[in-house]
Amino acid sequence: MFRLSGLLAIIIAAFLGALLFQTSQSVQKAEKRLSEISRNTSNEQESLRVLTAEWDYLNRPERLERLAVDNLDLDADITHETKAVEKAGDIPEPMVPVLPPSKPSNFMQYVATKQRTTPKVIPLKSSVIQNRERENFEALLSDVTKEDAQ
Amino acid sequence: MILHGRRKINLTGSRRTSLELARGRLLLLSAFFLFAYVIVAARATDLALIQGYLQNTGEDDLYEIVDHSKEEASIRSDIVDRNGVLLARSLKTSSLYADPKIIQDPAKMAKDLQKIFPDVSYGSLLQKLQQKNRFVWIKRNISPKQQAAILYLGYPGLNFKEEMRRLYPQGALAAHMVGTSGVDSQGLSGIEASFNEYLKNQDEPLRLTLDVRLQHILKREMASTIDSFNAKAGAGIVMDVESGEILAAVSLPDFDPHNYQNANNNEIFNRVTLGVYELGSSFKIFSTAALIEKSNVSMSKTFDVREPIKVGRFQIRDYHPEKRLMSLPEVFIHSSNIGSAMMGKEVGTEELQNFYKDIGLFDKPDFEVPEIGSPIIPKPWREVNTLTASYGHGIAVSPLQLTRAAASIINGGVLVTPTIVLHKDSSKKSASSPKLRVVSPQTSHRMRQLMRLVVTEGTGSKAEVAGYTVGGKTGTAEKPGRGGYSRKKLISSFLGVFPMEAPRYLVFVMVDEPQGNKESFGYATGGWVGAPTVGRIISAMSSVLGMPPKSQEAPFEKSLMRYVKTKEQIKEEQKIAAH
Repeated sequence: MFRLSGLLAIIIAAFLGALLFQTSQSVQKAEKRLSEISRNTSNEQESLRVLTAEWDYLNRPERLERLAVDNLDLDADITHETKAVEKAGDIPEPMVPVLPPSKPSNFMQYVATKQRTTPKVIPLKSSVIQNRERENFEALLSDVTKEDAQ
Repeated sequence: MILHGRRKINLTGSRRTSLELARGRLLLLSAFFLFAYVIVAARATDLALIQGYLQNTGEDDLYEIVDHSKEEASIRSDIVDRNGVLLARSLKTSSLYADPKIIQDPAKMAKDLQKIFPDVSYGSLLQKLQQKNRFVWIKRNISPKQQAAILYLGYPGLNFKEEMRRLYPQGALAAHMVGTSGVDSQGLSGIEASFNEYLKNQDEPLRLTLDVRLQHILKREMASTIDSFNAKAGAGIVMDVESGEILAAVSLPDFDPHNYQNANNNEIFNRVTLGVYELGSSFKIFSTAALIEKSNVSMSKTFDVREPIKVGRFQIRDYHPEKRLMSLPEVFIHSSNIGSAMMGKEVGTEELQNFYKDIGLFDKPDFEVPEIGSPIIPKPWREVNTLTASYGHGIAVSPLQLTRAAASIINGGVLVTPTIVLHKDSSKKSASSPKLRVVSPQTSHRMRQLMRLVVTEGTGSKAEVAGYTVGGKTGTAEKPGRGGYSRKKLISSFLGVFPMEAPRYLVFVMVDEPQGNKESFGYATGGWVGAPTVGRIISAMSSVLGMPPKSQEAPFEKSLMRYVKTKEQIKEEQKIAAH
C-alpha cells in the first residue's frame, strides 16, 4: 500500500511540477509580449507626439500664407474690395473660374471681381515677423537648446 | 531501489549493524544528490532549449519590464489654442555622450561620427573623444535617424541620454502670453509660469482662448504698421466683448521662446499686460459714457471749445482746433480735449473716479498671465486731474485694462473679466456667474452709435471696412518726458469694435512713437496709424471667422447724424459769422 501511494505521490508531484513550469513559462512569455507591446505603443505615441508637433509647425499661419502667396493665385486678404451684397442678382457672374468653386474663399473672389481693377497681392513683411527662418522641423528640434550644448 | 533499501533499514532497525547504518546514510546522500542533479538538468534543459526556443530574438531583455506609466506622468502637458493647435509641447529628445576612457580608437570613431554629424568638425570631435574624464557631450538633441546610424556603428563608449524638451511650434507668435520654460521643464514666464503646477501634474492639455490665425493677423498687420511708421514698439489685443476672452494678444518686438536667454528686456517686456501707458483720447469713451450715464444728457448739448482751458500752469489744447461750438457727438468724433475736459468737469471728480474704478481702471487687473502692471493714478488727485483723465492724460493703464473697460461699456454695460484660459463650459459659466452692470443698456447703445460716428464722420474713418459697421475711437497721446509732454513722441492707438449694431469683437492696436511718413502726409496720430491697421485686421479677421459682410438698411448711427455738422454747413456758418 505504502509503495503504491508513494509512487502516486511522486507522479502527482512530477505532474504538478510540470504544470507549474508550464505556467511560469507562459507567464514569462506573456510578460515579454506585454512589455514589447507597451514599448511599441509608447514609441508610437512618442512619434505621434513628434508628428503632430511637426504638423502644427508646418501649418503655422505665417508659413501657409507665404506658400499661398507664392504658389496660388489667391489673395490672402480680399475683403477690402468686397462690397455688401444687396440682392442675389448683384452677385456678378464668375469671370474666370480659377479653381472648382468648392472653396469658400473663391466665392468671395467672385463677389470682388466687379470692383477689382488690378489683382492686388498684399506684400508680406515676413522678415519682420520671423527674424530667423528654420527650413524644416529637424532644424527646429536641434535648435531648441543650442545653448546647452556648449 | 532506494525505496527498497530504506524499507530494509526501517524494518530491520533492531539488529542493524554499523555497516548497515553507513549504507543507509550513503543511500540517503546519493538520493539527495540525484535529486539535485535532476533539478540542475531540468533547469539546464529549460535555459538551453526551452527558453532559447521561446525567445528566438537573441536579446537578453526577457526580465526587463519598463514601467511606462510612470514615465508618461512626468511629461509636462501641452498648451493649445482654442482650436487645439499646439502652442507648447514637451518632446523626448536623445542626446549623445561618450565615455572617453573605454574608447579604443578615437580617430576612427571621430571620422565615423563626422559622417553622421556633418555640421560638427572632425577636430572638435576628436578633441572631445580624447578627453581624460569619463563623460563628455558629443551632441545634444539628435534626430532619430542619426541615433539609428550611431547604434549601427556599434562602438562601445557611446551612449544616449533621453531628455524632455519644451517645443513651441508657433515660435514667437504668442511668446508673451504662452511664456517660456527652462531646461528643467520649469515655467519661467507667461502661462508656463502661472500654470506650472497644472502643466506638471495634469494629462489634459491646457486650452487657451487664443486663436493662432487671429494672432497671426494681428501680428502681421501691427508689424507692417510699425515698419512703415518706423515705430519703436506696439501692442494689440483682440477681445470677445461678451465673454472677455482674449482671442489674440501681441506685443512687439517679440522674442523666440526657444532662445529666450538671448532676448533683451525690450523684447521680453509684455506691453499688453505689464506696460502701462497714458493712452489718450480712447479715455473719452469713458468720460462721455460717465456723463451720459449720470445725467442722461441731450445729444444736442454744445460745448464751447474755442479757447484752451487754463488751470493753474496747465493748458488744455485741442490737437486740431475747430474753433466753434460743438455738440456732444462732435466733441467725441473730432476728439476735442477741451470738450472732453468740460464733460469730465460736469461729471465731477468723485463721480468720475468712482466710474473709472467701477470699470477697473484703478486696480491691477485680475488676469492669468503673471506679468501684470499696476495702473499709475495721480496722487493726490487734484481738480486738473479730473480734466486730464477725461481725455486720457495723467493716468496710465495697461492696454488690457483699457480694452476690458471699453468692452464692458460696449457690450450692453456688463463688466467683463478678461481671460486667456478657455473654460470648458464657457457658455454655462457666463450664464450663471453674477453680472456687474457698469452702465445702462441705453448708455451702451449711445456709445455704440457715437463710436460708429467716429468711423463714418470723424477721426477714425480709415478703420472703415465695408459691410462690417466698424466703430471705434482714436487715441493720440503725447509721451511724458523731461519737462512735460513731448509733441514729437506719440503713442497712437485705435480701439475698434465690430459689428457695431451687435458688438462681438474688440480690436485694439497701440503703436509707440510712430514717425509720420509720406502716405500719412507726416501725421502719426491714432487716426493715421491705428485706424487703418485696425481696419486691415478686421477685414482679414472677418474672413477667418466666416462673417459675411452685411448691408445696412439705415445707418446705425442715423439718429445722431443731425447733431453732426457737415463741412458745407460749417462753411456756411463761418460765412454768416463773417458778415
